[in-house]
Amino acid sequence: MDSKTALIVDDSSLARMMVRKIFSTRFPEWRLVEAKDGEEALAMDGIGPKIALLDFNMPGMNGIELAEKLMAKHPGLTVYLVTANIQERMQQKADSMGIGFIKKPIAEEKIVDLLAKLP
Amino acid sequence: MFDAETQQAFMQEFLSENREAMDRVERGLLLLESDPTNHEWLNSVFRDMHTVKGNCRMMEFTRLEELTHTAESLLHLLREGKLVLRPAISNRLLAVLDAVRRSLLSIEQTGSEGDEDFTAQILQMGQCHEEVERPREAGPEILLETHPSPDFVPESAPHGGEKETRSNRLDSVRISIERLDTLMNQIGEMGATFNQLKYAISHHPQQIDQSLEGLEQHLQKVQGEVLQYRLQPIGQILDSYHRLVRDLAIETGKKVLLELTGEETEVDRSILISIKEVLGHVIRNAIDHGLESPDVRVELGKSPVGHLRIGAEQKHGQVYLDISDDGKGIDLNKVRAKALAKHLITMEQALAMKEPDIMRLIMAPGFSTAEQVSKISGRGTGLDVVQTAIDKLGGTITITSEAGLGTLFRLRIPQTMAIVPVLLVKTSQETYAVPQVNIVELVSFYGDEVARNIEGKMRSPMVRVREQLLPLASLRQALAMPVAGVDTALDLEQLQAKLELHVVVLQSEESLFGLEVDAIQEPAHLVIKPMGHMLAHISILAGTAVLPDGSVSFLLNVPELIKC
Repeated sequence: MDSKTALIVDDSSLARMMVRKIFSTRFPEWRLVEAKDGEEALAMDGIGPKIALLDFNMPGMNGIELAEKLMAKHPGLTVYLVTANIQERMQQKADSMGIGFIKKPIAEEKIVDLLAKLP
Repeated sequence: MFDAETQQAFMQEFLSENREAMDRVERGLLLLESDPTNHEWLNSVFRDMHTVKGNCRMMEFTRLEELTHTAESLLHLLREGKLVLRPAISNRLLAVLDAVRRSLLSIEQTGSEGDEDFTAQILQMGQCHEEVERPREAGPEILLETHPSPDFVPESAPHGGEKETRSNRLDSVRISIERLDTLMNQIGEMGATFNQLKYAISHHPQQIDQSLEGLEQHLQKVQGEVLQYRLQPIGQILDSYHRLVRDLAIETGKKVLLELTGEETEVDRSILISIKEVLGHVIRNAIDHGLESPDVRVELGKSPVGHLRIGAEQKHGQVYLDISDDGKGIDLNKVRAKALAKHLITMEQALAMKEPDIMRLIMAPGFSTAEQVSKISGRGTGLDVVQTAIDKLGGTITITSEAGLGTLFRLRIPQTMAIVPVLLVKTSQETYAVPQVNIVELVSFYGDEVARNIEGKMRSPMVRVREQLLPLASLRQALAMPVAGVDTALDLEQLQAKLELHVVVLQSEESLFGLEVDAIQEPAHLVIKPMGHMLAHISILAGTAVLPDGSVSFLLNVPELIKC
């Protein structure tokens, strides 16, 4: 996992667009891979992402279900759920899986922060 | 932070994505009018509203965000089945849709949300929320506060910091006035039958039996009704384990996914309260000893996230609770070696023990050692407390495990315990109650038959039932020496010299055994109460009941009896 690849999964094309813009201006050395839902994200092969930013409410599987599958597929992957509001029990579920949170809306400084925290 | 060109591109995307979403919401709402509970459509409408809200937040259109957020919350209630989409609600949501479209147009033309006031719309949707707090269909409700006996209150909070809201909810029951009226009617009928009985006693003695029968029927109806009120979905306690699992995962540095199924399974409230902490122990054990750390799991080719599943299911008045993990499983050789080292078993026993018996050793008192009591395993309690608590409820535990694949704890507990069908037996001038569920058959021997059917095997008496030799325990002896480790071997000759011998053949888990009693009396349905604090340590007794003559009898704990 030497390549700097980030995966964003969000069914809002506006949200993906913003993240894409942040990465292309601030972190051009990173490769950004996009998917609009879990199914699409899991179908991608050979991406080996280092970090994944997942929306919670998506068609098909939700962000936590997707996180579990992605973590199994890419051991060592750091996962963040990007969400505006989340039920306490979902929050606990995510905590127990070692998933981080970023509060919506996603902004440049938040991404700077979490990329700095990467192992 | 973005240049004008980028902002412009975002705005275009914002408008087109939200308009497409609103079109889908409109189609969905119209489809839902003919099928208001269609889950797929409800989900899709919810998600689109959620996306629009998120987009409004990103672009900082705060009033539009508030409006769509309120609509999203309302759709969430519909999706969860807490509200049903009535035309009134549907109209409100369609009105929101129009308002969002007007606002999007204003944004496109002027760059601002416009000056339309959404307050009234937000308040109206808020009123729908209140309906959920006070359901319309169920009619007015009364909240009954009940105070469970101190024996049923968990000794301490299951986990530090947890808010005990769920369990507090178990202390009260909501009853609709309608159900209370049903109960009142039944009591009214009982009163009428009681008057008939009184009249029959003094005027028509030949009608006494008929009136008594009527009274009994009414009594059973009321009993049945009240038992129904006591049933609560097990999800009320299962939900609270999300927090426990989260805390344990963080403490152990493991990754755990908790999956619940059968949360709607109903169980008597007092049983729920008494298994809440017990289940917590099983969960701790699974996370602490079962699941591997993420690194180890990856090395083994497993997902770094360990799975912990709790499933509940109701079958024939019993509730089956499966707690399974996909961890390393239980190493029987290690268990055997440890039990030997702790002198819980002898070498002879160790060699003779079968797999299920070895597995069961992990729940033996003294098996988990002091040095192993980590912060997680908590107050130094091992799995033996689980065994004890489940025994007291008249339930069973079976453990199955496969090396490398995981462990399954299957708990069987009664769905309701207030009224238990029993057989009354007599020993040492006292009456005891044996749960019918454990009884296989009753056998009595007279005269010569006694000596012919009692044999000794390695100093232990055995009884012959249907050509099968079963271990024989004596209730008198078990009651005399409830302390473990004392030799309770029966005197074979004394038994064989008896003129008559009464044996209740009992089943516990896989094993059959005979229980010798002085006399077998009649079957009964008893209202069982938990043992008081003074007697709670006597493991062979599971509860107390008042007999028809007013005396107190004890309910026997069959799984413990076989250990005597």
